[in-house]
Amino acid sequence: MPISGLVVTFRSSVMEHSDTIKAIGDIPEIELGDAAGSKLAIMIDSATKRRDQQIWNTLQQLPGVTDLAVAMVAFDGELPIGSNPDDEKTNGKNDRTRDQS
Amino acid sequence: MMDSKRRTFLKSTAMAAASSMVASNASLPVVYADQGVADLPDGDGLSWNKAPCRFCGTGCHVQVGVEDGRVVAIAGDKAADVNKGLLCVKGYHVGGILYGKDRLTKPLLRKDGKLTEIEWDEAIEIVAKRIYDSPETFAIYGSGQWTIPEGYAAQKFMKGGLGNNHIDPNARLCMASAVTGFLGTYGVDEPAGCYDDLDECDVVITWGNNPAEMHPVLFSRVTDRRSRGENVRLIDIGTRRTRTTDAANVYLEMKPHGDVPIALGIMHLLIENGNYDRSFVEQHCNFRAHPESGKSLFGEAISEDEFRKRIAKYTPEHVEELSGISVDDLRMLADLFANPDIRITSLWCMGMNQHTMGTAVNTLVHGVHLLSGHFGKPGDAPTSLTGQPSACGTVREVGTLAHALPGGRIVAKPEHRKQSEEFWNVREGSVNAVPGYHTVKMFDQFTKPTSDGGDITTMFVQVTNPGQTLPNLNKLFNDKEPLDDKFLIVSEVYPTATTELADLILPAAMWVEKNGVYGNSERRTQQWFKMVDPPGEARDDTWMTIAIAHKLFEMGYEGMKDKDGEFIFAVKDDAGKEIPIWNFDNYYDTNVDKHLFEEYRQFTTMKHKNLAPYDEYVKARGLRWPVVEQEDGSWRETRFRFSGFDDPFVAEGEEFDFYHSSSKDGRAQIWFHEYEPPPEIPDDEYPMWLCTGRVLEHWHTGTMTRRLEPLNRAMPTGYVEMHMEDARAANIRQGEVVIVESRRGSCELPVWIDGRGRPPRGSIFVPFFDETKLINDVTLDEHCPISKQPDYKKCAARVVKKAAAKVKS
Repeated sequence: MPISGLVVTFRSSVMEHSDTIKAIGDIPEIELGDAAGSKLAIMIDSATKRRDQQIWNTLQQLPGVTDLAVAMVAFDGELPIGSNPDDEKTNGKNDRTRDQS
Repeated sequence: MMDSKRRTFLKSTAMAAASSMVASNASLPVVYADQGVADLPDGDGLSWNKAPCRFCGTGCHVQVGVEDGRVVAIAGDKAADVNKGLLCVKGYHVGGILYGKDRLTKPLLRKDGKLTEIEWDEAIEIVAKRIYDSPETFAIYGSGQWTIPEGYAAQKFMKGGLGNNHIDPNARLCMASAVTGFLGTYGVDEPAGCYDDLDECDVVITWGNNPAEMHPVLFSRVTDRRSRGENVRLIDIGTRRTRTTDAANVYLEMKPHGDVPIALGIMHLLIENGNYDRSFVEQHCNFRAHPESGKSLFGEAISEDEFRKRIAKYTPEHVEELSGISVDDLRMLADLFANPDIRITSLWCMGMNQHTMGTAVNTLVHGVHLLSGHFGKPGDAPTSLTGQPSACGTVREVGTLAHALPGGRIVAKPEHRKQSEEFWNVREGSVNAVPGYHTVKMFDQFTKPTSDGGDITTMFVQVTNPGQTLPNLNKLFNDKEPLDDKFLIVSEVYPTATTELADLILPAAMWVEKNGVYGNSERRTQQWFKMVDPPGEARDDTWMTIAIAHKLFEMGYEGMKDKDGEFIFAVKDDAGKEIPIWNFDNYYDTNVDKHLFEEYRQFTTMKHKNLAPYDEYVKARGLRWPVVEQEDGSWRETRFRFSGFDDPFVAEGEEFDFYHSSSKDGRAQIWFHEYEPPPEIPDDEYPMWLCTGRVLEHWHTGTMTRRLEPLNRAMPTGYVEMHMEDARAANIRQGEVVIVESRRGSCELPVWIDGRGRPPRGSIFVPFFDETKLINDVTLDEHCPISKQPDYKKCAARVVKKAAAKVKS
């Protein structure tokens, strides 16, 4: 399952965003790391890719967060990134939308 | 599943990588070879190596973690000056692009309408035979995602071997106008500045450009400066609000084609107010315009008085009428350029390039910078960005365009052909003097019946997806389907809209499954090594070209022999024995990339685009050309071309020298162009402007990113952005599926009202990543007369409720 190291950038010094830091720390999959200036290092260890995406979306919407950047991501060897669940369509095999006029 | 020991190791590595990025906040990293690797400790069989990201033209470097022959981790490379260790959401998932479930792993031949597996030997023979039988009706359609050796091999095969110039890349669709803009202004292609400008500028102007989504790591250099308390003003000029607008201090909403009068209006005010940089212009610039006889790349000289006379009519009031931006806003822009105490960087990409006045508007924005003297100092730069990882390296530098030769040479000039023939050691006269077909013409000729003059009968597509990206697909691609004598060969990694019509599909290796070299938007050449094997029988594109060439050689095709009678791609070992690189089993007995790169490197000194030896790129995270050897044997890159303080080709003591000036006097050209309206304008029948483009989560046609579950979940479908009032007036609800149609075709899409991008009333936006919703059935194939680049950004369309369409029919 996904493991990633992220850098959260705040609008101003990390110290001025204690409520948001607490909210991040309350997410069980997140481990807080070093902070300097407006940046905070975090590590996410989530159970599923879906959960990883949810955490990502949550972080982006937290007050004071202006950017989320990735420093490292690890993949699970047995769960390669797959195709769109809607494979028949996304592979473009049978469902090309063409002008029928 | 990962074992707990490895999991713990990866967790500590992830935190260390993030923490190091936080700690390095205070200073820019210095590029040391292998620093990034040292910071990512190996363990449990995990090894790391560098590669540029596979996606956009920014050229971020990643560290690729490989274990048991498989990519298992990706980290930003903090030794890389481009991205300083950061990656965007696409880069974060780049490792997964190798592992989609439906990778192509075996050559497939269409027999009786069905794709059937065949062996590689048969596939190569089929291609070679079609070329042998009719070499002049063969064409290669390539890519800004070709590696430099891939593009160089295709270029040499076509122009040196077959004497056939019908080779053109998909980059024709994305940055051809930038090329002609640079050539028309400076006499030589590619930006003078570099990404360092973003670290130094006081003002960034985005001209129809959305770097927040399309070049997010690059954009973060600006937002990062702001977060450190620096004052960087961002002015976004666009036809719709985007995420870049969200970060902007000022948003100027222009009408489609409004960029042309805005640039003219700024120059008008600089002249009228007398606050242009008179000294810079007198010393370093000429004035230029098209002659009455017609448009051309270099035009003719005009006097400054003539320039003043022509630009006089672009008053703020007239510009307001043409562009839609107010008189006050235009004056604000002109005042910024009139201020010599600030540094201004202009950025643009598809908005200015996919434009029927693409060359014109490119030269005009360069002209604004030249006239105001905002040029050639760190932070003062007109800079075009590219959308593909090697549009610069492979297309613009290797010259894989229908009229070009490597190193800035062109087929029309006898001395350039002679140089190329000498470097390739092929017979005099081998290179054809007549330019081949540009992309739109090439596909028009391919999809037109042979009996009607369609004189391209075999097309080889490598590393791109024209069945989704060409404009006006019903005319330029879909018409191929019923033509039995036309043969489409596609080298691909996954099934695409293009493979759907292919007669022969060749499974390709991708990214770190092969050696490669890319060239990014800031003239940076970046090398990587193969790290994992491709799946099944997928093989390198360079190998495919060489294998086809060798098959022709075996068949006795004269063009595949050099002047000494040897194979044109012959590689010999230290004992002088030829290595059979056309056999895939022997392909990696030597580094073919290195051999091709060293041969290509000879061309690069011809127009001061000097490259270092291959081994220097192995050590570095890319080097920006010109790269020149120093007295101590080291190699020095160049950040700012034409500027005496940095460019080694500017004579000592000179402040600037445009040493490839088209006027042969060391000066750049400030162009005048008359405004021309777009080729198709909304009317009663088709009342909306249609603009197309990209989204953050998907890269171009989605061939790779649609296979990445997190990205696809975040952006699962194409859509049409509409303004709330337009939707309300048409009784269209959020999410309702509607028909977007033009005079050329139609496409069904769900509506996103006032979503991520917010188009103004009377306009809609559709991204092109979704292969199930082909918006290019709707777009227009009108193109810039100089660059031949189509305009995907504006045509007339209408939005029809599905129910209404049913009633009509």
